[in-house]
Amino acid sequence: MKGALCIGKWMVGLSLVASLVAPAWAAETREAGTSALQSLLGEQAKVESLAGQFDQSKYIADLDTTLDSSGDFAFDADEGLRWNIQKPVPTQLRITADEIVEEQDGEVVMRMDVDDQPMTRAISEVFFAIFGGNWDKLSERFTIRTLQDGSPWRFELTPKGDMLQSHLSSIELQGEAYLNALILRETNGDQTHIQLHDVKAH
Amino acid sequence: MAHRSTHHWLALLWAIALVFMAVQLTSRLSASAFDTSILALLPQDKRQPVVDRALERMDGVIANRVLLLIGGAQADRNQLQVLAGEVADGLSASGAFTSVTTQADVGSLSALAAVYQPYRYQLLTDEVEERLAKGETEPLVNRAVREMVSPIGRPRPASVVDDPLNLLGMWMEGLTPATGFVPDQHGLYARQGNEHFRVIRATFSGDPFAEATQKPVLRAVESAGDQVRENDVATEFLRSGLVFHAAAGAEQARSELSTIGIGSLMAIVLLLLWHFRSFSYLALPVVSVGVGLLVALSASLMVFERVHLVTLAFGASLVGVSIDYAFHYLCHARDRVTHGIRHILPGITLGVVTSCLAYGAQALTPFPGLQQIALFSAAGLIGAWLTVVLWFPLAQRWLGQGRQQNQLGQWLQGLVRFRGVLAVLLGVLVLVALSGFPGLRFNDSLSALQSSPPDLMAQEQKVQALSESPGSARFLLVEGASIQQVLERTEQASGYLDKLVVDGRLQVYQSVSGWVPSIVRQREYRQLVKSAVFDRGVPTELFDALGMPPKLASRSQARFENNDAGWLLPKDLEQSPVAELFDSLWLKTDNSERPHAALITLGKVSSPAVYEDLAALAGKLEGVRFVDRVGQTSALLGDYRATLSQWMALAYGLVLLVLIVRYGWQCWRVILPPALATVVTLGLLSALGQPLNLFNFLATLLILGIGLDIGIFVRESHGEWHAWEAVTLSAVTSLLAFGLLALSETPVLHHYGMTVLPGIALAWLIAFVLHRRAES
Repeated sequence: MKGALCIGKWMVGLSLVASLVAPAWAAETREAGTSALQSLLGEQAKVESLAGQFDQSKYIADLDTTLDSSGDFAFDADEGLRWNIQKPVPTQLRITADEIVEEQDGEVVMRMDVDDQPMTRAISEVFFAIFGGNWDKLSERFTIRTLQDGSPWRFELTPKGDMLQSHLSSIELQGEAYLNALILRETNGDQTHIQLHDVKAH
Repeated sequence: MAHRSTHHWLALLWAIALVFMAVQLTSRLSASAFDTSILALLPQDKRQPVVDRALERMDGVIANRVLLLIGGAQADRNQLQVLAGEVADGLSASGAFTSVTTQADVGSLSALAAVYQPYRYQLLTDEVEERLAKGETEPLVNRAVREMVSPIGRPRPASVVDDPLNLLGMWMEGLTPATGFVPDQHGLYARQGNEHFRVIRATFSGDPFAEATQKPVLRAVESAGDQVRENDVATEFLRSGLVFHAAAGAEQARSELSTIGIGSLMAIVLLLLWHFRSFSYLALPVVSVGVGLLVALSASLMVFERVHLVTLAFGASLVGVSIDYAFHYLCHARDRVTHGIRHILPGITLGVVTSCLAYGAQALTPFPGLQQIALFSAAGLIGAWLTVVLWFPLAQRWLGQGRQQNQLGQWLQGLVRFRGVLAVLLGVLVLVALSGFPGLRFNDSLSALQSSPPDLMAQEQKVQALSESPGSARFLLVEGASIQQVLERTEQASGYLDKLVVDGRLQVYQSVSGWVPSIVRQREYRQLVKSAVFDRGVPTELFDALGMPPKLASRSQARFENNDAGWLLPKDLEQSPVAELFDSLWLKTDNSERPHAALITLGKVSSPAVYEDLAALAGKLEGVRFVDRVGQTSALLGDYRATLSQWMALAYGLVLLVLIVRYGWQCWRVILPPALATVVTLGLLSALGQPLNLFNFLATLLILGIGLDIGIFVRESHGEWHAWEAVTLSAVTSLLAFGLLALSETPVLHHYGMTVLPGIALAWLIAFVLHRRAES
């Protein structure tokens, strides 16, 4: 996910995310069958809360090495997503409908307000879309292709915006009852694999 | 007979001289012969070429730019954004603009990152520098690790091996463009409370003051405005740009020309026709004033090469005084059967001598504007005088002969009976004026002379506030013997500015050293990175924490040691996406003689006191100066006003000397009308609560010229009625031509008219009340 969802005050980061969450209103035609997707996805489509562990492994092509991290997460449709990285350094990320807050050692190292910073709103929306199973929203920003029907399911999201296409090749989502893996492929060859496990849903 | 032929020869000689002047004028006349910049009015010793260049640069940046903001409720931002896109498309399709965009113009900063990449070990933000200097590397390592694994980390322009602590990422983040406009995925916007504004930026080519440029731009923006008004969500449409002010000024001038201008011209023509009942009488004054203007312009361009437009305007009005000579001749010629100029020659000669002395005295002031007005008006008056003296007698055959029924003369004679009433009225006015003097105030501020419509000014101010863009009116100018010295001095100044920013007194500033540190500083930074990062094994700590192989740490170390990029220089940014911005801050030198110079542009300040601090700061630092265009212009107007009023006293003194020679102790009767009229006028304006400025004082020059002519002509002709008719006509036409400017909405003209109107009326009244007609 790093790379695609990088933000900062810096423009490249901004425009990258900007294209990732390309405008809903600019979208010409929606890809067919989001309602069909929704029925296929079953439980994930109407998840209220989701919690579990994650293992992230990022392959950095340039260095031919892998950077591992792990932690736990909790998603609640009302409260948002908590992304607690435990290794290699404890970092807490909170993404709500209003703001994104990052903490390290109990100290807030970054706080971004949704109202002040529309990028933040966009990121927040994408996270909510993926974890809350809001495929409607996702289909506005990505072309969704079914890789594998049924259970387990696999979908591939390809960005619609030009700018993003130059950085991000695709995002692959895998799941059975719920989402259990994200694979993010960047154009520079980097690949991030996030595996979710012990997922509990309500 | 001999005398007559001499006169003919002289008249012919004058005609030849005029042809010569006209020819040489056409060769000099071009657009570049006229200055419009206020800087050209600065005294020579106060002119600073480098400041001029800086101001030109600032103007150049804003002259061809237009900002349009579409505002509405924050909740409607999506619809506003769509609307902004449509409006931008419409503007683009109009063909009036060379570019129209709703986007930020930062371009791809990844291209900028490529420029900086080789120099990544010698570019540090203040925060990082401070940490490294204190040896606090642990937080930096933790930050780098977090950013590597967090989904929303800071972008990394260089790989973790090349730049383990992501120094370059932090440096680039510090380059945030100084603007209140924020980009989102669809372009630039601004926010104020619950209001949301979409930003459209457009540029056009051509002179913003030219009508041919203004028309298409205005038409396109007008239809954009209609488009916005038709939309339900948009509540505001704000415009900002020099072209709108230029167009509004031109429009105002046009409408005033067609109301006040045509009105006063018609009134003058009707008055003269009514009085003289002949078109020839109408043509002759036009000829004399026209020749006066030709001589004035020709002489001014010969001496000064360039004439300021302000000079032209006020000089021309002073040349208008010369209409007195024509009237004096015509009223005399009409009244008498005897022809010739001899009878009135002493009067108009004394008139031209005193006026030239009074105006010419201004030539000794150090101010180019006053010098030009002095020469222009003196040359014009002499030209008109020569025309009357040499040509008018020859035109006698076209003029009606003999005395006719004369309404004006009869009225004037009738008015004599009311002289007592007029004297009382005058006394009351003097008392009112005296009561005004304790409240006498001066206001030289530029804003008092601001002529743009208030609505346009309000829009401009709101856009400025929203954009938080550095104003072009005040900035710091840094000079040095070399590029590096300029950078070093800029860095010194930046240190102080940073404190102002931290204290919340200055919103933002932009400087060249923010993009390219001096070599001295780059050397310090590189040394610091070496000692605090690479000599201390920080890369090993980092890769350890990341759980990555230790060989990466040694590779990272080797990359640092093998890096030999040299120093980042300003020219390296020339091909980068920020070249334009950087270029606007750097004043390139045309030749090696000139010092190198760069600007530090300033954002909004918390209070005007900050400007005083900045001026003090500039005084302390070598090679740094604070340029305050608003203050500078106000100070200039104040200097002009003070100098003009002092030299007016000298002018009166000189005139008085001439008058004493001619009239002895009776001279007070001649000098009193203009002198008292001026004093009473200024007193009356003060009594009305009006602060005085330069343009009030410029108008008193006109009062002096016309007032003197009234006194002299009447005195020279021993109070004969033809002289009273002439000075009355002259006073009334001046009131119509210049006094009606009081109705103008252009502040400069308004102040001028407000002074001329009572001033000339009073001068006439005083002369009328004072004069004892030599009974015949």
